[in-house]
Amino acid sequence: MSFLDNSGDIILDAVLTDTGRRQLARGDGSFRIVKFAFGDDEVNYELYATGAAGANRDLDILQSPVFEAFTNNTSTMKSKLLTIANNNLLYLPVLKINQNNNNPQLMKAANTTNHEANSSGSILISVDKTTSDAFSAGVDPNKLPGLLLADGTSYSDPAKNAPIALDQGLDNNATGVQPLGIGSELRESQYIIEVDNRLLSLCHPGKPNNARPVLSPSFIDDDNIASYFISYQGGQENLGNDQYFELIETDNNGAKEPGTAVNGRPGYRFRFGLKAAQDAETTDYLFTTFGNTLLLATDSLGASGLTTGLRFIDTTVRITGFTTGYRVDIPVRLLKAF
Amino acid sequence: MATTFKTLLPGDVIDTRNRLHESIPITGTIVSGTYGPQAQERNIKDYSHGLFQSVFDYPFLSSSANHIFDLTMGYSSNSPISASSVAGYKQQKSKINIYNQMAQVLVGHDADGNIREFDADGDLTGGSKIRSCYFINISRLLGKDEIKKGSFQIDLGLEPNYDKAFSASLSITDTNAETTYKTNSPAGEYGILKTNTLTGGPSTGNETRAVVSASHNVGLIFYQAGVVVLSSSIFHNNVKGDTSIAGHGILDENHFPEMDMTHTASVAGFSEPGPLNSIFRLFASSSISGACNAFRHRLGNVSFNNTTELNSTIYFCRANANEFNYSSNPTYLKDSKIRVKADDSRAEPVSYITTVGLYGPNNELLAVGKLSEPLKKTPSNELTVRVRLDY
Repeated sequence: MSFLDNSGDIILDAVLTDTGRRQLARGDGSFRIVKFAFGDDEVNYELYATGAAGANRDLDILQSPVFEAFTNNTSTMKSKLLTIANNNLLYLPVLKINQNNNNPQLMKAANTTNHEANSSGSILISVDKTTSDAFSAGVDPNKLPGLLLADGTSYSDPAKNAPIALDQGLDNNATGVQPLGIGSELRESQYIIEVDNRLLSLCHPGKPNNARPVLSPSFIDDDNIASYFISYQGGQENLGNDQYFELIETDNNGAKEPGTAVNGRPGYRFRFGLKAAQDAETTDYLFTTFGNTLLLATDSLGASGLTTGLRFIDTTVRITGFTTGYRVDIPVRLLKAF
Repeated sequence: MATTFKTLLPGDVIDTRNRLHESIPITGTIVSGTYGPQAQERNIKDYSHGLFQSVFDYPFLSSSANHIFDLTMGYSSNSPISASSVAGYKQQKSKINIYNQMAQVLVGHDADGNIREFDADGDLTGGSKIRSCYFINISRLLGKDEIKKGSFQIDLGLEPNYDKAFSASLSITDTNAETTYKTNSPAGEYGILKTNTLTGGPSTGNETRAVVSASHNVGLIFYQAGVVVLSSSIFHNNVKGDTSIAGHGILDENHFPEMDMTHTASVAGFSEPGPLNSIFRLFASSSISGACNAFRHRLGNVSFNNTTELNSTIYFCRANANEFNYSSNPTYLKDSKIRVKADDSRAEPVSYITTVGLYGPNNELLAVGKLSEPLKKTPSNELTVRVRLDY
């Protein structure tokens, strides 16, 4: 994609996205523009020179070249501008994956000893029972601490059934660690989760693997990216460690609770479950079409069920705060034994 | 309540309709001569059915070729050319069928269901009919939604000598069609093509050449259909033309003797030996593609303006003073602290707009606009970005 000519007047290059064209072609009235947002994908705020005088502060930013419009709907508007009534804020909340308390973890180098599958920095997910059984039976949990068994079977190790958890809040304790007020406009209570619909489905976090209801996506775009919209419906009954949202409290001494991912004032903890989509679970087609292969020695797996190796697909689960706009992309590696 | 989206209100969305015109010049050498000798041009596609030929701007076997127009000819069953007494006629049924097909689409039927003939002045109740003609069907790629009225011009070489066809070049236009166009066609609006200026003249004798009538009706142009109908009378002189047209042809017999339309009998598709020095004989005894080859040899420049109807929806995306002053850009924060404020919470927040996203009710991104340079947004300013989507 080339840059737009920025030598003269400001121009606006507008296109329909592929999703927009698809909805227009349907002719069923689904093409309906009802709202807008502003984005600043190209801007690097590190170039803002706070120490410089006046107009020189943002000279580099204002000279940044801007791409032509992308037609792929998921390639643009990745960071949105945010409306907050209070102009005197110095801190804004972030969203961080919580890898504590048996939650799924991004594989780290420290955990890769004797196991080749966990070198990707991703959350590992087994997509079928054969793979899950092999891992569940034979792999030292310490080697694959974040492994999710997403084939719809319940396993005795609760960690293997755990939903993905994210903590939202200020990641700076300069304003303390007390939770953000329930009505605070910095507290995020609505999320959009985007996953590849061919590979993964979203499910409720609260029940064992085999009892979690799979959610219906809000919409699926032309590239098979499914979007799920989840919001806090209010009330204590919708808060808790078996719900999408959970309050994050301080400990008895008013200090930060050790399992909290953010360092400052927290908002809600947000959870959701992942389950392998049927195509990924029941056939090898997707894995052989655009996946890769790990050929492993059986002893390195420590699992008798894996005789040859593993096929894997790397994908991403994107979580975006609907009101605060903050976005986290979680890398995920789907594993399937063969 | 913090938010990243803003709902578009009824006053923020406006529908408009515009017409966009492009100037389309087609040079005569593209039509004949650039890509091979006469009747063997690689940019001319003949079909096995022989009912028309397609003209491309480049050898048609190349994927770079663009279709410019189709060319065919035909005559009415009421034309003297269709008489069975005409010697050596060829593809007569096909030529009559072509004429009827074009006529029923472009002129329609009378009260009894009979196909009407093309009328020289557009008055279907009477007057001269165009009973033998060439048809130029302009491709949608060039014509777009319609041809702009009053913009069409075609130049034809009328010099009787085949080798110097453009020594006498006649310009035919739809002058003043913006206000005089006709609306009684089932295929939309059409204009009358009239002879305009003649440059050069017959090479023999240097006579004072003249068109019989300086503003003779010689064809029709159907603007929305993108079809040009040219009477064969253009190539007749006033004695030997189509008798259905007053004066037969438009050229002075004294200065424009019968034209050499095909030059040599060796050209494929002609049944009679020797030069076919009459448009009458060409229409009767040549194949359709042969007659089209002869026409292309005398076809000079063609130019017109096309029209694209743009239906636009304009979205006014307004950022008021207190809106869109913060960003969720990952570089906006360092350890949750806003970079652009340094350590001063009372400093104005600053953000920069490079992109406008238009969303559906399910938060699906339906359209996106990019600004050519970042726009600074602070609580001290307001912006309205006008996004126009054309359909």
